[in-house]
Amino acid sequence: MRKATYTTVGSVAAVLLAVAAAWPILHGSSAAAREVPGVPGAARARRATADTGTAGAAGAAAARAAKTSGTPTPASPGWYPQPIGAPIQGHDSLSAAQVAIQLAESATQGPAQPIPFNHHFHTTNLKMSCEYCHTNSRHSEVAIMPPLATCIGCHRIVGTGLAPIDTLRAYWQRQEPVPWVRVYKIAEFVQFKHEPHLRNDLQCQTCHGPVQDMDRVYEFQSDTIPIQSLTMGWCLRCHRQKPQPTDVATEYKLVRQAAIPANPGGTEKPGLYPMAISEQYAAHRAPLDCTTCHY
Amino acid sequence: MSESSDTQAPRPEEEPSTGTSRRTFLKILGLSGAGATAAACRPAPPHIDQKLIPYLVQPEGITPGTNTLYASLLAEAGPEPLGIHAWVRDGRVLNLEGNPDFPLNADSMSALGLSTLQDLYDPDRIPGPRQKRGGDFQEAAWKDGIQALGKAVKDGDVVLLTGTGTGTRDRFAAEWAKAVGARHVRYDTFDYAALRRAHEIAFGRAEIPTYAVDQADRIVTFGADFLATWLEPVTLGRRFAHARDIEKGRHARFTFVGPRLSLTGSNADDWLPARPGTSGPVALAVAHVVAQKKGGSRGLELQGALATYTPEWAADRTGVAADKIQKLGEEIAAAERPVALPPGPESQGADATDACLAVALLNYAAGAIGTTVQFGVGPRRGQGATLAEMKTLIADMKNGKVRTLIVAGPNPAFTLPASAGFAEALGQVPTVVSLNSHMDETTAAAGWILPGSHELESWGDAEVLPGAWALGQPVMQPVFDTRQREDILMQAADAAGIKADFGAQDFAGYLENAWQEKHRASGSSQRFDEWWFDTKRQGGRWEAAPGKAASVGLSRTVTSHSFSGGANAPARGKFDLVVYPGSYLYDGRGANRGWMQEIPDPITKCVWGSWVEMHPDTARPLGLENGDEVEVTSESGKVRAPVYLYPGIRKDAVGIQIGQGHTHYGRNAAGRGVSPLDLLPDTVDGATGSLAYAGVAVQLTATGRKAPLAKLQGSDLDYGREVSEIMGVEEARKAIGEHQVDLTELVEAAWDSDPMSPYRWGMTVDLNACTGCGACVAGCYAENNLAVVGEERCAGGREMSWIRIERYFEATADGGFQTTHLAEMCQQCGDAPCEPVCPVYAAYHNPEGLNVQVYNRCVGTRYCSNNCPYKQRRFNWFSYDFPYPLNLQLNPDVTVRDKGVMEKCTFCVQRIDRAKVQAKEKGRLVQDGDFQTACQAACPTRAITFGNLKDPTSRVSRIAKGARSYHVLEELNTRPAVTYLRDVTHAELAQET
Amino acid sequence: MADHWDTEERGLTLADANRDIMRPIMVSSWRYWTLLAFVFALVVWGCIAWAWQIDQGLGVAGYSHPVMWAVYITSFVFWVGIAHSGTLISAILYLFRSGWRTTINRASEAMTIFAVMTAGLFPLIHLGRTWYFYWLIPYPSERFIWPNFKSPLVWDVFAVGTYFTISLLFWYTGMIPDLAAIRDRLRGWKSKVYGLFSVGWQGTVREWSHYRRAYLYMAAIATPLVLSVHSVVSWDFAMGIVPGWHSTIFAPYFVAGAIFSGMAMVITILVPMRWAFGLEDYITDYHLDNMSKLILLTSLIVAYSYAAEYFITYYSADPTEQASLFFRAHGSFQGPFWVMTFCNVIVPATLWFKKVRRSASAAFVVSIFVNIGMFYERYVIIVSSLAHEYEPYSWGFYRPSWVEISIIVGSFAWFFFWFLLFTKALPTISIAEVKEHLAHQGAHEHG
Repeated sequence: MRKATYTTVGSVAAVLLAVAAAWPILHGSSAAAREVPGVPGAARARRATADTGTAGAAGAAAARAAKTSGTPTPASPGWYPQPIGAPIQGHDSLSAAQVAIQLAESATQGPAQPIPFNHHFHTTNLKMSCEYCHTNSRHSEVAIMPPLATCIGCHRIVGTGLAPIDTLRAYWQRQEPVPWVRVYKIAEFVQFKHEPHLRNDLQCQTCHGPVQDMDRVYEFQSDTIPIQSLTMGWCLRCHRQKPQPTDVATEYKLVRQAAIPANPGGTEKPGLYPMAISEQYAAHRAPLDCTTCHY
Repeated sequence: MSESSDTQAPRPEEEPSTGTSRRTFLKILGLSGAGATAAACRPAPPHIDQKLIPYLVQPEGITPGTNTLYASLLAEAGPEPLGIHAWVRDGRVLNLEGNPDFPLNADSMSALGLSTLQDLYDPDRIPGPRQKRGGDFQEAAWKDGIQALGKAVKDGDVVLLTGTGTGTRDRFAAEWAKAVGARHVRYDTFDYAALRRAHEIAFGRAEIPTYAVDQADRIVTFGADFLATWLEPVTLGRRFAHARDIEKGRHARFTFVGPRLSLTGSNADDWLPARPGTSGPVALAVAHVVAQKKGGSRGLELQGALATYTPEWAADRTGVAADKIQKLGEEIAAAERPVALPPGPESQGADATDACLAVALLNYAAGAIGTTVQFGVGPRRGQGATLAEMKTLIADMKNGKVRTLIVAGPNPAFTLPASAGFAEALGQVPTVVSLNSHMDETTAAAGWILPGSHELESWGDAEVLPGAWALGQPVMQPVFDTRQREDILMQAADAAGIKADFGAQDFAGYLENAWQEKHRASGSSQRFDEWWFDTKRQGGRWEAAPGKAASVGLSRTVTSHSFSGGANAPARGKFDLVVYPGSYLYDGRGANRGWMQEIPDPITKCVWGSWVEMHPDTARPLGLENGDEVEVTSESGKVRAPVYLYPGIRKDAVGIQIGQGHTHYGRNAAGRGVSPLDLLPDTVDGATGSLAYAGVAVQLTATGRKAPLAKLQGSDLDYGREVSEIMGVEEARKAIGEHQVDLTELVEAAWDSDPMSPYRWGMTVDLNACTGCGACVAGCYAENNLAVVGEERCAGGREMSWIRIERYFEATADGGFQTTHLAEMCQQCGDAPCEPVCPVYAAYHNPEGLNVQVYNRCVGTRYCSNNCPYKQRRFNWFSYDFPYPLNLQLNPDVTVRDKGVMEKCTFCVQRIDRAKVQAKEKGRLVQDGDFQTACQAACPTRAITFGNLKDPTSRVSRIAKGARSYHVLEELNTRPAVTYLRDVTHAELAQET
Repeated sequence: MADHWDTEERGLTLADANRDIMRPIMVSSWRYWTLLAFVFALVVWGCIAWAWQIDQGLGVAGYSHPVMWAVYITSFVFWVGIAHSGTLISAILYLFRSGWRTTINRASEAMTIFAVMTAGLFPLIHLGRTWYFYWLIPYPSERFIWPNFKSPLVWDVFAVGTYFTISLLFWYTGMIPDLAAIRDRLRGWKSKVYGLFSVGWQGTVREWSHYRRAYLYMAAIATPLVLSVHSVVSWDFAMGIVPGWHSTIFAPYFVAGAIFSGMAMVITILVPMRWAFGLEDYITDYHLDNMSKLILLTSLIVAYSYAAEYFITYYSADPTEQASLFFRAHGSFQGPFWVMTFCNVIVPATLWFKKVRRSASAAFVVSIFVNIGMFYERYVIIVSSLAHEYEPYSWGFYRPSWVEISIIVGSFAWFFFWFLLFTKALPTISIAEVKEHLAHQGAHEHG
């Protein structure tokens, strides 16, 4: 009957509207407007086309996205992103097959560099550590591109005749630094520091992904974190897992009785003593305070 | 942080556009509207900062992303040479701090000194060689320029005009001039000729003594603005604060003699308002009294000479009551270690030497010579040409005796009084070549500009004390296509084909040779290169400085010296003119530095302009109010500026500041305000020939117009609101030691900060030590990327400064007033009113008790500002830009704020953060001395202390416990982390009603 | 004259009611369209000004530290206040069974809706970064950040939001029978549209009884909002520690003021409307009389609040507070202050005279004064208090810029734009209730 139809039509329309409105909100940012949430691959596919301009690349990446993305249902319980299930990908977390895929794709992903530097070869085959070249990362907030001298150190002798190496040498002869293309860029209002993260025994791969299996480095998007990488939520995923600074035990021993232990390790007031560095690292202090990154 | 001896600043590790990119990025946020939602929490768009440019070879001791400190020297910054540590990151100087090893300013800075950063990165600097063709400057090649200069040098009749100096740069100039047969003229705006001459007459030593104000128990200045512009303000400021350290039981009474209360005067306990140019007679009369009362051998020596100069004699010449002079004399006679400082420029008339001599005699009679006034160890200053000598040069220029004028440093076309006619004379010189780095008035008249590098890009040194040498090394590569001045001269000499042997290819080598000699002289066991390395590390060598003062005796001639009676009183209806150097603009060199224009003048709290200071009682009858334009006329010229009512100036005098009124010199300076130098006749001090600033009579006519006067302070009184507090010295003495303030309230931060956190950051500001010089404000500008907004916006209360110095007048019993300077920044309240009202938690309380402002979370409701009783929050009304290369100075550790965002003092949280990371590496908590906030680091008088209130042993908590401590607007119970210590005065305060 | 709405002497019939009230919907004149166009142009101008402000930054407005809130917040409070009378008339008077609301409730409810729509704009307009306004709305995100529920601004979001929703539903529900009536008189697509919105109303007894219940309950729900909304708005100020804001009297003070201004606005709107559409028989002097009385009452309360504010300050002996209120009356903002006092206290006093109350033109003039006065009241409270706070160093001054003025004008235009559309598209008087009234009176006759 007429009334019934009107009411049903009305309510259905209302519900649809509501859902449409809520969709981006449920996913924290209208990133959703441009990107299917939880399918970072798709976004990367778009980026890849932008960079290389080959439809094939886009295809490949998109295919992979479809293959690997663990898309969470929009209305996942409680609306909150779920805690990280699988361990974050580290050195040996990839199977041989996956490595193959990685390499295949990394070849087309990420920006083209002035010199096609091959991380896979240097780290996996030559077993070089990341910090051999990125020396800064433990002592500064920036983990710098290695100075050209570092490359030349080996390549004065090694690799003669290879086209890329000759390019490298040419730069050196011109005494001109290599204009590497930036892959990772954190928002300007985020004061990120490499040094504390490394001191807390984080692996480069935790954030930068399986660089050791990349021919060409691209902005890594962990499939276990269904959030755009380098966003605040993405950072918080780890920071919320670790003990908080409010939990004083993570950074300081609280000695309640007046008796002062043998080695206070400083001139602090009685009662509160810093832990040994090793203990602190074990504790993996991960502050949540806004001032940790924003000032 | 590792200090490096690298003689060349490192190559930038990234494009020097970091600053801009921050900016542009935020702009993108700003403009792309709701679409930018995503950007709010996602990395910047790819087109920003696309390239990462590594080093070719990473220099030793440099870690990209961390600051490297270079010890260097600022010799041309202002009145005094400053030893500095330059903070260099990725090849760019970011900040300057005092060099703790330096014997004078040590670890503190002056506003003027800090602002040389803006001089270095001034977008209006001359970017490369220029040649004047058809009236305006065209780009030119260095080699043509050098050729042209060489040719001019070959043609002869060359005059090389440089600033004064005591170091190798000056020696080189002289040597060069000799080699090429040129005439070398040294010129500085303010010379100390009168002082030197006076001491020659009195003691046979033509030198500037050390004024050991810190030793004194009674201080008198006869006009010298020694806390702002005279001789060595930073050093004397430190000593002054030391002499009045009430906690140590000292508090030297301080009397100011002069027509206008300058910054120094505003810190005085008593004021003897002598007419301009008559502080000499006052000093004489005081000396007279002292000689009578104190007696002793020295007294007797002088009694005869001073017999006629009685207080009564002085009274009717100077406008100071005889009894006041008598009283002052008696107090000085009674004091153990008094010190009297001579007149500064503003009170130096046609008898400047007499005045200085009078002060010298007073010091002698009072027994100050050898104790608080020490000869043989005084600061070294080069003696420049006085106005008289400049006039002969001008004459030569006019009648064609000078074919080529090479200007390397000074800007006489602006700093000499217009009546001297330097500007016209310039026009008559066939070839004028300027090596200045700015398009100043003199340079604008040049035919060739071969821009010299800024001193932070150049080599240089100076003998700051006898035997104490400071070294200035370049701390970064030249921002523009400029060269070290001396190198230009050297190359010119070569081009001229003159076989001059300077013993080196370039000035760097020349200077090193000079230091080789010092090395030999020092008899150090080190090899030179090691010794040289260490010298560069510590910024100089001062072991050789003599510790002890030479003993001097009075010369016979003095007793027969007849003194002048000082300047005559102005005719009816005329006013005495007080011309004084600006605290921030000095002789005008600060005028194009945004910071110096925008930091309110310490006395008037006005910005970006000129004004005519008048006493309210004089102005009111004439119907003049703040901002009414008047025309000031003297025989030599006229200027128009708004009136400013200031009770700290004589009723028959008007004051105008030197520094504004540039016709060139850049976007901030050109066409702004007026220069009182246009009013001065070219009268000179008879004995020395230096310019007489005082003793000019002017006429005032109201134009009936209003002129923009951007005064930032709303009210000059605090209506007893517990904002600025001042107490009598006796009261203070009683209170100190008697009771201590309980800190628990302070230490437990607010309800939502973390009780277990080992930190509660706190600060103390000692109003007794604070002189109001404003160094802290400049330090904050440098550290925190504060925007410069310009005059109109300042007038609308939109300045962005995170610290302001509030200047309040407190009435005294005798109807006068005392001035308090209150440096106020965000009070970081424990229970902050700003926090609960922010709807998005952009303002919140962090576990360490800081009120944090999260810029990228702020939506700009501005409720926090409404609710801040201290009104310490600044809002970004627009997106302010930092035109290249000013953006190179932006601190990468601090986000550049964009429009629509609230900001405020953060207690330099970025430094706290760094300190915490480093302390954790050492396995301990942050302690005193690990770091300083920017304002604390700059403060000359150490009035600001910062630290951890939860650590009872920290300096800050010990000071905060002190009896003088109070909190601004305490009754609101906001529990501020900033504790103030009451100002202390000898004056008797009026009962507050 | 009758002290009630005498339809007898006016000889109104049910047919008249339908015809008269629906006339604007059925026929239209060029005057209407020109007026609409003019108003729309102003709206566009306002939008341009706003766009300029977003692009350049808030600096183009006249704000100057320390006056961080000014005419934008003023008009926000003003419009929220206007919004009050609507619900008051429709809900409270309905519960009190005061018959005289019958012919004015529809229009005043419409006014309420549009007023809230206008008010809602200003919190956005005054934001430094308008494009992030949604951060004030609680929504879950992977950043785990929520709004600060301690902040009165967040309370505002809820208070105003709720108020808007309820008023809208209330208004709509009341309109259903009329929409059905219009539907039945129209042909073609128009009929379909009205049909859709009248959700298949048949006017059966069962529907009527449900309808009455629903309407009653809604009235009951809406009633407390009349008090709550403006109390919350007043807390924006009362919760601040600004001298001149921090006062417990604010909630009742603002509510009274709101009803005061709301009633005035109703008159300001109804008088021209009844003249334009010839509704003198429906909106009679009797109605005006009642509304005027309400204005008189609230004006007295407001006047009392002014006095109380000064007394409490005097009594508190808090120098800062005293300085602030002295400044309000004698400082750089004394002009607005005395305008406010004159418009809100002196002028309404004329309503003591029946002549004034019953003359449409007189009541209209008074209402205009009250509107001006109430705008100035908020202006004075906000601006003068902020300009003269604790720290003498940062005492300041404020003058609105062209951008602010344009946006304010635009906002008024925006309000009238919607109201004009309403008069064209919907019955400005509740036909159903009028008919009821007529039927009722008829029954008396023959019963």
